[in-house]
Amino acid sequence: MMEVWDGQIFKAALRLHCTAGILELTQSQVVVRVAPKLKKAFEKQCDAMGLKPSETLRSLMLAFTRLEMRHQILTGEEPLTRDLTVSKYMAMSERDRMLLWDNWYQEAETYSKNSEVAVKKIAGSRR
Amino acid sequence: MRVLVDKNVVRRWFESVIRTNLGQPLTKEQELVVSILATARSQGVEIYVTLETYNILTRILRNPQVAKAIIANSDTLYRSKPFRGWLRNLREATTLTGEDAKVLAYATFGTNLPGTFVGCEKVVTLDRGLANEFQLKKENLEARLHRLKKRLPAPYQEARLPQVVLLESDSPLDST
Repeated sequence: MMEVWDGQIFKAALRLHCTAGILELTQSQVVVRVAPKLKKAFEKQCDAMGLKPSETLRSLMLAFTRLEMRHQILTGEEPLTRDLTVSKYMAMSERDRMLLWDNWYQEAETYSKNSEVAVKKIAGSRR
Repeated sequence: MRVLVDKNVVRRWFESVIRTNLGQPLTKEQELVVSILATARSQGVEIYVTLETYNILTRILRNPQVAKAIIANSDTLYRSKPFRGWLRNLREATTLTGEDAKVLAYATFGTNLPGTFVGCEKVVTLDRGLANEFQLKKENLEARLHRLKKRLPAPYQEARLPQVVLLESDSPLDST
């Protein structure tokens, strides 16, 4: 599952950043040509998160090239909650899904009460 | 760096896991969330969810496959002792919803289970209302936090207000 997820998120991320871009593959190197506007957007996103754009793109490329085809793990008929399947959930409107999560949040709050953790000693510098 | 992602970001993340595994294309918003979390993770950023979100994933959802994808790629923030007091401050000083105020309270006074840190550096959200209200009241909140910290024991004096990062589908990251 971990491998599938890792591969899939990297693939999705790469698709986002390379939309309208060109991917050139040779035996020794991978060249990604991206529209300047996308490059700028990618760099701005990375910057806001304190990430280095060049290293980030390299990490994405490496993960992408390691990606192997894997079988799909969901059919849609699996239960998501007591009375909802994955397919039914995905067929709901954006607003209904949002409201459903709000209800789940309220239910989840009841499990979260009285769960205080004491901080005794902070490991290393915070920032 | 520690980053707290709010419930709506987790929802897009969760839905992107389902869509990807059903072979469906992601929406723009889902791609945005997934890409920024992937880039963050690839550079060692620690992604956190609130205890409430964790409880949705583990106690309400009945599909461990999908939830596991998120749990395996994130950690959980628990409430430390000053959480309640700071939450009261946030509610008094802002017009934030109870849930949004809790997100900020977690980002300021959340900790892990062993209690080895206080708070997160950033909150990632898709909620413009949260980002705007935070920006508007930031100075007041800084002052309130400063006053609160004077009464707290040493580890909690490390607490800082987080930076709120707004993810938008039409434009790249905008931080306030």
